Amino acid sequence: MIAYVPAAQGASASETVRGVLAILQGGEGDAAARGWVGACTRSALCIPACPEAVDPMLLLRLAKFTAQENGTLPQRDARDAMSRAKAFARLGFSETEQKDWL
Amino acid sequence: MTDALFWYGCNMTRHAEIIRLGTQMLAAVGVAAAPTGGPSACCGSPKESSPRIAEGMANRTMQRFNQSGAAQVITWCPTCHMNLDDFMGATQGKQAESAHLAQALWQRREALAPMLTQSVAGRVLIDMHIGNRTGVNEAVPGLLRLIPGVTVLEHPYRAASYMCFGLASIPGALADAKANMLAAMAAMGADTLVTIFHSCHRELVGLERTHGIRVVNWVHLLAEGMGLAYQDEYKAWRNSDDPEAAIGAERIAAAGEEAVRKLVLPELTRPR
Repeated sequence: MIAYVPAAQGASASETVRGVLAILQGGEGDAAARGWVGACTRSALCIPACPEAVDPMLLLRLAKFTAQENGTLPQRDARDAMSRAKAFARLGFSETEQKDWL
Repeated sequence: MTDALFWYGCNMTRHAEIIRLGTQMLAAVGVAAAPTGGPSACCGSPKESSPRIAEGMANRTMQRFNQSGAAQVITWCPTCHMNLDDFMGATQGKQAESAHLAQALWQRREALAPMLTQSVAGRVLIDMHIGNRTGVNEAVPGLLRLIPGVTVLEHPYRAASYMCFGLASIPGALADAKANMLAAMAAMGADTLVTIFHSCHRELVGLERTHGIRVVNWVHLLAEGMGLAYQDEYKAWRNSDDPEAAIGAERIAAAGEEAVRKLVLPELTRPR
């Protein structure tokens, strides 16, 4: 997904990882790290590529949680997600299904 | 006591027929699974920007599963599936086995295959994504190859992420994935695009109207092979000139007109 992150183009891989670690610790990291964390779509390609036997995908995910919580990255707007799910359920589920499945 | 739960997630409420068909298919291969999902069985994903809230939702769901006594949790949503593996089970003690619906059916393919008696014409390409740890990239092609008449085409293209939802928030990424998939279909002479997950189905059904291809979910195709009737209402509404008329005034009123206007119709009428 780096192709979709202009700030990460040509960035040093090791510096970018240091930036992710800074974000994990509550810092802002650099633009490349923020871009990588924000654009990670959990393709899991990083897991076998990592030479350190850690799970970078999980690490990026935790970094995203932290960054969204402290405002380093914009929060995902999911205000209506559950209301929307319920509205679709009322349209598509029978009354019995609404009672039993939700 | 429930033998198994079919944990369909929250956004699958758009696709009631897939929940029904999945439950019927599980029953047909000997698994009595009770569908559960929606906001009261959330993995916390929609609230990931507020991790404490997400954690509370996930914990509540895990406790509910454990208290159900179910021996198996059969998943649908890959985000729920990953959260179950990554967090929920680890922190709350997962007492049930878990598998994706496609895996559960693939594991029971000897029971399933004799029920696939109906021929379904189609040269199909599956919308596969790289990042799946749910086993679907192996199970879905295997299941579709059991259907008489279906030709499952192989192409090396795999979209990024683990379903289309992950691409939708990255400017340009989903459009590129759609273009790449259509190019792969053209190269292979495919006439049918098969989606694996609900978010992919949601994002790709519009291609049926704009590109003259058939777009179906793998569960739909399997149902056709089994002779199970269904209606893909989401696709019909999404590809309608007038989704409001397609849903119908009576159903809209029953579901709550204000909510449908605010939450449903904008999704159905957004650009394809």
